Amino acid sequence: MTVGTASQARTKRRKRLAMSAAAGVMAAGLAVAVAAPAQATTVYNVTSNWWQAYAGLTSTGGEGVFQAEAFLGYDHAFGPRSQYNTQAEVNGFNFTHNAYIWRDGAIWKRAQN
Amino acid sequence: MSNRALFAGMVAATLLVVSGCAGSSGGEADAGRLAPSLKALIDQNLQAKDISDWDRASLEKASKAGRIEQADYAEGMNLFDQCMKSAGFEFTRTELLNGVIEFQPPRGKLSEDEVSAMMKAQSTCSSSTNFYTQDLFRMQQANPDLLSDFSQAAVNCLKKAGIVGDDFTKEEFEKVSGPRDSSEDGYPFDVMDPKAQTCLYSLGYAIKVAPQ
Repeated sequence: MTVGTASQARTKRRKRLAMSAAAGVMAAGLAVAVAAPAQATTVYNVTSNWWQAYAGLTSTGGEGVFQAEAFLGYDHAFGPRSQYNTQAEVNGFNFTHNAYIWRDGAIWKRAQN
Repeated sequence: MSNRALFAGMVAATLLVVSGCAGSSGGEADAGRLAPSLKALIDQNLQAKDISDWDRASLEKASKAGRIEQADYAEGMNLFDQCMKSAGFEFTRTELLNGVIEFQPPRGKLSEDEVSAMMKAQSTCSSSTNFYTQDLFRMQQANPDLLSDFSQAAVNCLKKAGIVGDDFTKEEFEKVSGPRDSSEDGYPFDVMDPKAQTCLYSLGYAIKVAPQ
């Protein structure tokens, strides 16, 4: 990814903000889900919208085996299975999206129901 | 505060508290590290109740040697791959620059049931073969200091690989990685560069940019 000029960035940001506002109106119920820490040693977050699907978990270990998964349209990302850190992030644009954290082979947390 | 900044702050605060607790209670881990050494982390993982026979043999060998050999890691990943294929799933396999092997599903429309079947197969195949070995090998290759702060480990790796300059900070990484509002800018480096992907996936970050 390249970084554009300040002017390009401002234009892009304004366009995205306008689209974001439209998305908020058009996609009621597809709100970002931000989860609270599950346990003292484990922090996670799952969220998805038209521009990004993201699932992430960090732990000091010993809390189970986790795997993050995210998809935006036809593009999927599986984080590695880990006790410590698993993150899955897909950036782009699509109306279909979701993100999950799997724990020991079953869905543990999800961004959208 | 953005979701990204909030999440980064939560992670940092939690790991700080956890690290402090480990130190004050006389735990084995150094403050901010998963374990005092790779051998200690291997030995800690050998205590897992659900460890497979293959993983146990692999980690016992690694404990004696003080490191996991590439050939042993590759053997375990091959076993996992064969198991997944037997279950009917063929993933895209990529060998990263440091020898870590990444498996990803092929691009395409997948139903929730299909994904669920894939994830369950991964869980079964991984836990019956090489889960612990692959988890530790990735740490060995990309996080030699065994930092529990994975953002810092990612920054260290990206600097070493020449992807970012020496002035790139953990705070800058946390600002661009993870949850993103549509109004926020993306990575200030080519996140799909093989060197960047090697650092990031090895440390647990599967980051993709969908074709437009």
